[in-house]
Amino acid sequence: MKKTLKKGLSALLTLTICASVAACGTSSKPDETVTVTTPTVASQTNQEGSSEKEPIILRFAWWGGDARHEATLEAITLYEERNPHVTIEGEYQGYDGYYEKMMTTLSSNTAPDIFQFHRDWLSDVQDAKHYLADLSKLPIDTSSLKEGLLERSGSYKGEPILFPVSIGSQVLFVNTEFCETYGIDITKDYTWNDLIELGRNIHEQDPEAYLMTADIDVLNRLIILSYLSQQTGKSLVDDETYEITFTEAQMTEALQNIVNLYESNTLEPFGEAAVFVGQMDQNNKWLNGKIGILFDNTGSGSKYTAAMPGKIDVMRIPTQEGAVCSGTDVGGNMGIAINDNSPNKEEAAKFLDFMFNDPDAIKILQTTRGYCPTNKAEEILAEEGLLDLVQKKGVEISQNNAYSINVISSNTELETIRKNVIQEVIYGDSTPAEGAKEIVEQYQLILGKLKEGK
Amino acid sequence: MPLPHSSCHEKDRKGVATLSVKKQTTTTVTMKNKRRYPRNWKWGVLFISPWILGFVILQCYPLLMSLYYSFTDFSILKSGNWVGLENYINLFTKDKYFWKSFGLTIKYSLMAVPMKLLMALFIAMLLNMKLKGINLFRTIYYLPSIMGGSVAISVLWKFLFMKDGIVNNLLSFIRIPKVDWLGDPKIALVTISLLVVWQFGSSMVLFLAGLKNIPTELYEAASVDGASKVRQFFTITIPMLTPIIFFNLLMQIINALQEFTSAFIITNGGPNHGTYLMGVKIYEEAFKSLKMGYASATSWVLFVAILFITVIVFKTSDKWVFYNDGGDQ
Repeated sequence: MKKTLKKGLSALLTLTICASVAACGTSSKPDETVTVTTPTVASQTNQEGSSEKEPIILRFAWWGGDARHEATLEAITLYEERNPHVTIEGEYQGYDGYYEKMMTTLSSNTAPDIFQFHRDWLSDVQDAKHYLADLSKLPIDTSSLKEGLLERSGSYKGEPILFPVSIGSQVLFVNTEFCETYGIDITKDYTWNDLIELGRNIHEQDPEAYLMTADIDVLNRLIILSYLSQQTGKSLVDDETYEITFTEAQMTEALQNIVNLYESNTLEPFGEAAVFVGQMDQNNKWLNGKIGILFDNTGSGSKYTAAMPGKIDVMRIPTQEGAVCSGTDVGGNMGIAINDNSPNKEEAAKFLDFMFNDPDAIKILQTTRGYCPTNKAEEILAEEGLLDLVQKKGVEISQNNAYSINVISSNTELETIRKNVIQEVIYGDSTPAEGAKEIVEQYQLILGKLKEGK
Repeated sequence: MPLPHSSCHEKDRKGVATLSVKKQTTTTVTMKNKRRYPRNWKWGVLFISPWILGFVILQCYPLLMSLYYSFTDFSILKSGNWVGLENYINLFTKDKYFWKSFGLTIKYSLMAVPMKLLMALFIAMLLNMKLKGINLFRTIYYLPSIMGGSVAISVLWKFLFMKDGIVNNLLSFIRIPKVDWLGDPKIALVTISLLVVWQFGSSMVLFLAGLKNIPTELYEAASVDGASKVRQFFTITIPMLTPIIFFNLLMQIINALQEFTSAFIITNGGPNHGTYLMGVKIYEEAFKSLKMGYASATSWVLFVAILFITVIVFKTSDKWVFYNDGGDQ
């Protein structure tokens, strides 16, 4: 009896060890990259010009959450049904690591045929080599896009290379119950200082609660840029002259604003929020109603409403005295691009056209990539009652007097410097004045180099 | 016993006398024309050729290419131009975070390596006891190091050590105030080194083997002479274990200086570059800033540093490592 028990136990342990050795080889992140065959498998139409089409395989990569993955896969299936000679292989994952993967596959010429892309990455990529195809030369109808959207958010150096899949802006997402408890009027236009006072009071009343939370990306890409643009009315860098559009004093004030937000306990302490970087919707204080407001892009609306249905509403971002513009960047910052090296560019373009111009596809994809970039989509979804009303409201209330961020201002090097300085200022390693000085100096250095290479 | 074949010279010169001396030997010494290599050496090469191919293609080639790239401004997206020593010069003089990162990496190693070895030794000594079911415990204590530095464990660590996480909740039961394990740049480095300490399994197994090899007569003799357990530990156990301590120390130092996963996943090099280890710095430069040439230079600098430290450890080992068979002396 003892012997069999021993044997059984050892067998069980061996299995456990084998299982963990096997499992430890894979990552725990929701990375469901499908293995692919190379695009060269697909061939062109044969020389006799027969009507039977050669099979084409397209690789399509995107990032997102489950809702987006499911909807996209459904749209893919529909396209494959209508076009039996086409197979589309989806390579999808979460946002983390997507940029790095995309850069390496582009440079090694193993990138997918069609892929989701961020407007901010256009300059990094297209400056190096003509990686992204010119959409005006492909069979895709871009005229359906809302006015000015393609020029503002999908073109670089005059060429349309990114099909914007959403039109969005920045808003404050609010927990309606929290607002009721603390008497926040979401129809009012608060200034930054108003919010700071409010935040101070709330934290005094409940030491566990904070008015807002933000991770480094929100601070770096949304908060500081909105504050600055409210003073300058423009993007950080002028794309004609490659000069900065803000003064050192303005940057000092913007950094000081961030310091004030932390000192008054309006924002949850940076270190605590850092655990949820890129996943503010999973911040447990937010989920438990101890944080009331999140500053984010309207496109994130669907994940907030999915996690807390019925409790989410939107309000305008804080403004300031003498603001020149609303501080919101209205446009599309996300789109889909086509690999210029792909042998199946035309088919990829047709598929892209299907996704955003075909009524059935529109009904499947809805607003999983953000609010409708075309009027057609808006009409169809409104009719079917499928419109994400929170996102719709978010876009509407923030459109007024908005500006638009240009591509050069989103250059990665510039962003990294700002990101480092913000952290130093928050932790007291630099004062806002010192931080601003460093940003200005570094920017001028980098822009000088970029200008030479222009 | 066949007579040994002595060399021609010997036979001529020494003649009978030599032969008579050699008659008394009992070993057979056959001397024929010595080959340099065994006859079937080509088969040997064939059998190791898969490994050689793998080594050359997957290790040698990238190593040499990265040395080449470190002298260029290769940026992944476009091929680079030769820039000579510019990357290295910028690294040492203009990079704001290089010395900070280097210092943090050394600090991390100074914390993680001794903690890990001490933990491994302690557990190995416990597991050396003759208890019922001790084999089960040995397996269980080894499991963490299989799960290892995977992404899953790092994510788990993040949630354990959050301000509202499990560790702080447990501490609150014994009335210790909440510690900001991951949010305070000074404490965050300690937190991620704890993850490495948790994976002491491989070192522990080696220590266990070493402990088993210490002759029990030594302990018996010491007890007879009246030495206390503590005295025995420091005068018998440790000296006999020094070869294993040396090996573990070396391997752990090399690993610790290259640590990436825990710092990247748990704290992403932050907060405020508090856990900005060299591994993370190299990754960010290569894949976020797209400066592959610069990152290659950084990794070669790290390589040289690790080499230097390894040589120092080797050189000092003569003083404190005691080999049973006299070692190389």
